[in-house]
Amino acid sequence: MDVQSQINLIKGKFPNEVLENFATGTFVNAEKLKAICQFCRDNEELSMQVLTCMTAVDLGDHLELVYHLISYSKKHDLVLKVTLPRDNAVIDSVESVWKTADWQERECFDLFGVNFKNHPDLRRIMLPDDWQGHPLRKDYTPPTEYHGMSHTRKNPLIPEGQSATTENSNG
Amino acid sequence: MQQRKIAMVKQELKDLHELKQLYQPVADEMLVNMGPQHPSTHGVLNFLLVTDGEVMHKAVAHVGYLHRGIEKIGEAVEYNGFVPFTDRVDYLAAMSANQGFAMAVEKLASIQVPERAEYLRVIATELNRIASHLVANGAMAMDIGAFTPFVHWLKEREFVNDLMEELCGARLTYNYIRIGGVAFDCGKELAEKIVKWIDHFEPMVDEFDRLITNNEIFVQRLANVSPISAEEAMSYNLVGPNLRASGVDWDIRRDVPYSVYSKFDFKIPVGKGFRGTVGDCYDRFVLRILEIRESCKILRQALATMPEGEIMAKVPKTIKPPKGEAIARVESARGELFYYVVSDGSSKPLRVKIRAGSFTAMSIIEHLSKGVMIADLVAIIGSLDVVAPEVDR
Amino acid sequence: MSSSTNLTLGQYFKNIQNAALSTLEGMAVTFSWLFRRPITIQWPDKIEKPLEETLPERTRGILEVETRICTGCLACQKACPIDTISIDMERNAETKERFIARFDIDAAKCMYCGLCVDACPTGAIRHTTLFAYATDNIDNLLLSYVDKGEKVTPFRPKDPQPELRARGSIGKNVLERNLKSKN
Repeated sequence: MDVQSQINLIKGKFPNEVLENFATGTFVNAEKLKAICQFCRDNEELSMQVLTCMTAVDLGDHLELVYHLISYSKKHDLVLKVTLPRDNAVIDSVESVWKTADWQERECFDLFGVNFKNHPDLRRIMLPDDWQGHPLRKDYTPPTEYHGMSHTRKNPLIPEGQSATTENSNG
Repeated sequence: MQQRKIAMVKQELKDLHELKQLYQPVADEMLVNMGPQHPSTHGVLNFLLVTDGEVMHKAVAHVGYLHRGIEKIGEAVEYNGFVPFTDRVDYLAAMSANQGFAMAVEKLASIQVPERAEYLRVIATELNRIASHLVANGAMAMDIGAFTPFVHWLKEREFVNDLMEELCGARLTYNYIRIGGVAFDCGKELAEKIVKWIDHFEPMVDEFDRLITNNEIFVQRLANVSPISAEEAMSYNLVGPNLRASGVDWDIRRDVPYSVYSKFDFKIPVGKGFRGTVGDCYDRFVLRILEIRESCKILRQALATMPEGEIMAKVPKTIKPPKGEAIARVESARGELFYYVVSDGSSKPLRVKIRAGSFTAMSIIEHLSKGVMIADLVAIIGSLDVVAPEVDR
Repeated sequence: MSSSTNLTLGQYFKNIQNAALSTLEGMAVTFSWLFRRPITIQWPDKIEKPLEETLPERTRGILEVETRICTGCLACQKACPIDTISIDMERNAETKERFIARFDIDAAKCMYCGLCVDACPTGAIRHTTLFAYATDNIDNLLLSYVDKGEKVTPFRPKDPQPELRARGSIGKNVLERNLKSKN
């Protein structure tokens, strides 16, 4: 089933929630995302059994959440996107639809600061539990030390006389 | 702003405190750390076990010890310079990791890869798949307690490492599959060496079967241990041999064909409860051995039919793809590696997302481990082929 | 564990026979290895040639620079994704010519990806086959291919071909000098 017919099928059930289309999927309304995901999984013709990947992109003035869905039996895939404001990024968790969303949403919370409502266990996954800040945002400045351990190393390539210490170039 | 930050941190710590209360052991239970340094976990992984001595009541996975921020690095280096970093995402199957990123950028920048380069990519990835499965099965056998298969299989892997060193210069982190093609060519003598090695290796796989696969003690240890049904496997997004062992017939090389895999004739083995139930640990073990045999078949066909030609397309020194996004799926040894690259028109990517198979495999361990013995937990982790750098990136 | 529902006596003994035979078969395989030639090499004591000479040509060991054919184009410094190479080009006050004043490679940070080698137009920077250079002082791993105070004229295509040193010899000298001086 090609992408346009899938979008039309979703539009048939949720006429006001499907926003702008693009080549591989569509933007949807943030409030109805969980209902749309449930529909995509349960509908016979779509039968999106798997959430392959759930991630976020920081586009400067807003965040975009991207959900990649795929169906093994029908061999088609779809992309759903949601825009969220940066200051107050809140959205429903889809953990009850696909169990894999548990850890993927924890990673999104950890690295971007998106809050997922009704998530069974939302806490940091990659970084230590008392880390401050959300690294993959574009306005993140890494701290210079963590619990007394310094972040800098004397760069041997810069000869004596110039600036003695420098941060690792990639944070 | 400062007040809001403090309040946010306090909230996170309060939730953590509440969570720690949930995991407090009661009665005769104890809380044991199957700690970050452990000879049986594959890499730096931590499990908090609430156990009464032998049977576990809860196992909570703590990951993040190997988090290097590779996705953040992807926003700071150029496209060409990021390829060596993808090696380190999964160092046991580095060729497929390179290939995924190269395919995504080639889609973005509309670069056409020459045919000889595609054949070389297939040869490199299949050799890498054999090497990775040898380590996976060997380490799993070693965790169960059988040391001999591990040593034998790593000896075979040494030959593969030597072949890779002749092909691209490195034994583990190859940086071979570049954007637009491959880095080095494979001459006639190296091709003959690879064929000679496959002739030597295929009887060795039969010998491994005689050594361990049919051994009754080994089978009793692994059969019927935590079977995963097909619906669970799909809901938890297991990929690769883990998914196929649960009975789901899905392989990226056949169902979403990429590169030149559609030209080769190979079967996709699916688990069917070889000695126990469908989807148990023994299925996953045997499936990897069957996949090694299929990879040998693909290698022979690719080496026999490789055409002459260029190995690298005409790519500018600094790649500046137009604005847009692209995805690429590759079937690596650990399952489907999913790359999502967003470009904003400059010479550095805007976002690189790598979704690796081991990440989702770790998340199912908590669910599988209720009422299971600790020794079986070791078998589960080994059979799911979890590699720590893939989980944390 | 396999759930053993009611087994007949015949099945019970067949199970035992199966278990014994499969274990003995595995042991037969291990026993057969007693009579095969081992493939281990006793490095570095009992080998004929140094291992560095037997490694394939494309092996990516430590980096070395043949400064006699370096053009001073800084392509390697730009190509490195982790800023491991640091080159200083200075200008002679009287003749207004450029020369290379410093060429440092931080071998502790290098990830042996080979991007700088691909970028070099003349092949001045190249990989050697050296791999055994472990040391306990990280300052020993800063390789300086232009000595302090030495002024290296960059190579131009019209110049006559200079005499090139063997691959691996320059790197070896620099490593030995580092270990002797600071250790």
